[in-house]
Amino acid sequence: MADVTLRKVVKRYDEVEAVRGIDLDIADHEFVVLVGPSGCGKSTTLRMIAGLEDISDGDIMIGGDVVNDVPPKDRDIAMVFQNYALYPHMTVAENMSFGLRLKRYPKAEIKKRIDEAARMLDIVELVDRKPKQLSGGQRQRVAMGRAIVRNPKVFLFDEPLSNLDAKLRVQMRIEIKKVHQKVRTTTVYVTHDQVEAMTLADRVVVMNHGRIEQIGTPNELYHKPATRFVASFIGSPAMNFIPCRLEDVGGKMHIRWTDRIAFPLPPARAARYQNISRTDKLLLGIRPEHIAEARPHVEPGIEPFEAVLDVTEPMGMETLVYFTLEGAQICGRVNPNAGAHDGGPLRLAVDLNNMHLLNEVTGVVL
Amino acid sequence: MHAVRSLADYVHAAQGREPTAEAGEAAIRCIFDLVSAVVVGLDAADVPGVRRIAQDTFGGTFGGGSTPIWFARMATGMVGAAWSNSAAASALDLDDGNRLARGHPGAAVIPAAFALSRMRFWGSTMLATGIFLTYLIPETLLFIPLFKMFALVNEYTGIQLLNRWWVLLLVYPTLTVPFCTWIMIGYFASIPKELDEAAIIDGASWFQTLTRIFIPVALPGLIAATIFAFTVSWAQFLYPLVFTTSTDQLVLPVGIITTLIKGDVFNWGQIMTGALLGAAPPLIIYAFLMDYYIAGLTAGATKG
Repeated sequence: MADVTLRKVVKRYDEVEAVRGIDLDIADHEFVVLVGPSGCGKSTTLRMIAGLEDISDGDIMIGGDVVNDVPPKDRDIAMVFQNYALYPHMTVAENMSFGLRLKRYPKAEIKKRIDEAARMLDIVELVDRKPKQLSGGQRQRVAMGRAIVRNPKVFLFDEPLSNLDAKLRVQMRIEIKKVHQKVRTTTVYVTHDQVEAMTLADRVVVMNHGRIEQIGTPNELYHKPATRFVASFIGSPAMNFIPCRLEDVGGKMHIRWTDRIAFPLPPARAARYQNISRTDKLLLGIRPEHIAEARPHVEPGIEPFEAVLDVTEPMGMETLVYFTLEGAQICGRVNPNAGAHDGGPLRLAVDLNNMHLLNEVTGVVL
Repeated sequence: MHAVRSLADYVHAAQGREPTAEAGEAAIRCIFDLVSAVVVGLDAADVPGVRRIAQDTFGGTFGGGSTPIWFARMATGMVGAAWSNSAAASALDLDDGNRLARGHPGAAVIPAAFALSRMRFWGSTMLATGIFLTYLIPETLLFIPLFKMFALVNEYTGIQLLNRWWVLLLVYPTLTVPFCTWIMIGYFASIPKELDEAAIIDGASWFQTLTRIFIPVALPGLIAATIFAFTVSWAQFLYPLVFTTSTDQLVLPVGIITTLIKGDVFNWGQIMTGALLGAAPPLIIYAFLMDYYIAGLTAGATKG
């Protein structure tokens, strides 16, 4: 059990900077997920915490001690790999106990820990099998068991669910969460799947191009993204971005999408955006669930408009509708009974109470 | 022909299966078939020597020397065996890595291949390629300088190296070590990198990673390399022909040619006996380890 701290950590490969100065404080017992597209430096960061990669610059601390030059085996960490990395010639029990046997733990203690971990992961009947006799999900459990029996200061997960099929992934996601609730070990988890990040994390760290874009709880990232990258990366289907600008009509601030469509802003939003130049090129960021079918009664901040749908995607509990506005494809989520069909017109409404306004050039959320 | 066909049958039967008791049984039957085919063939040709095989072989009449040729040959074949000893011993006895360090020529192969495939150090790629290139130099090019070298050693130290069968033990590794190292580099490289990273995080040193993870996982490759080393050493002709001359130092392949063929007189019975003696050990080894050999060749090539 320990906290993990990264101070201005840099990783350079020759001329290329893979990680460009990361500051991160991970509290004891916390479950932190590093998420980002491939090549964003998240795996490299994890491997630097593990000690599998050298640090070019900066400091990494585990439990208050600087571990920059401490070899992996002395960092008291355990890691779960994407391809499980089980030792193929050892049984499940031998796989799990390998680290303990190297450290010459007494046999009784090893047995006790394996039994405990096997019970926790529901693999008691598998302990005498070899990895090739196990399914993908079972192998992943064993890999987790190998980490648990070590009782380390920190768990490191490197995209552990990427090799599993979609259904098993959801199931294992819950398993991982349960395990963390039981053992409460500080965990750093790397994934490119934002759903995994949102569901598992106490805090999510969104990375891009070797930098941290934003750190926050899943809800903070979803509702208060700091940049266009975070806004578009978190959430599925992704947030819509509609080119727009602000204008004043009759003393009230409006947001104009097209020559024909402009809406008055709700008072709270108008006050917040008062100082923005009216000539700036802006983007309206709006999540699909905030574009729905228009209701008969008028609600403050919810503005109706007409759209001709390109494509509809019935999902069962909702229908996704796609239409084009000023060259941008927009996605909305409507009730399956709203009468949406491919190529047909539909009266939609946008909820401006939940809008985000972005600077188109800098990508910063205003 | 019969023997060849049945060998192919057995190989087919054994392919795509785990090494099992049936495969072993099949291998034994295969050898029986082959030996009987040879004996039947000799009988059909009415070769008088067939009935005296045992007498000729073990009675010391072979070549007329005091030391039977086959005995010397067996001893020389131990170069291959030395390789397999060190490799197999350390592979099978996992908790005793010390056996690796017993000083066999083959003991160099595994650590060398491990280092070259996993530890990135200055010039490691060049060294790996260099090892392979040394294998490409033909022995026909090397035996003259080697001969001169042995003569020089004798001249300066008085140690007799020429016409001593045990010198071949020192020479054969120049063929087997580079190639086996090359095979094992490829095999080790095919083992996923996460496996040694997992071991390192579990607290294993490089040496423990090698002895407790790499060698057991690479066992098929090791066996393939061992078979190769044995076969090359066993069937070697040029070096023994050049470096050994007197009858009591000759090895089997050379002995057959130089002592059993006198002008235009061919001692067919004894030649056939010698051929069988030379052919049997590799056959037995191949038959028993065929599954591993096939697994070793394919696994080394394709596993990602």
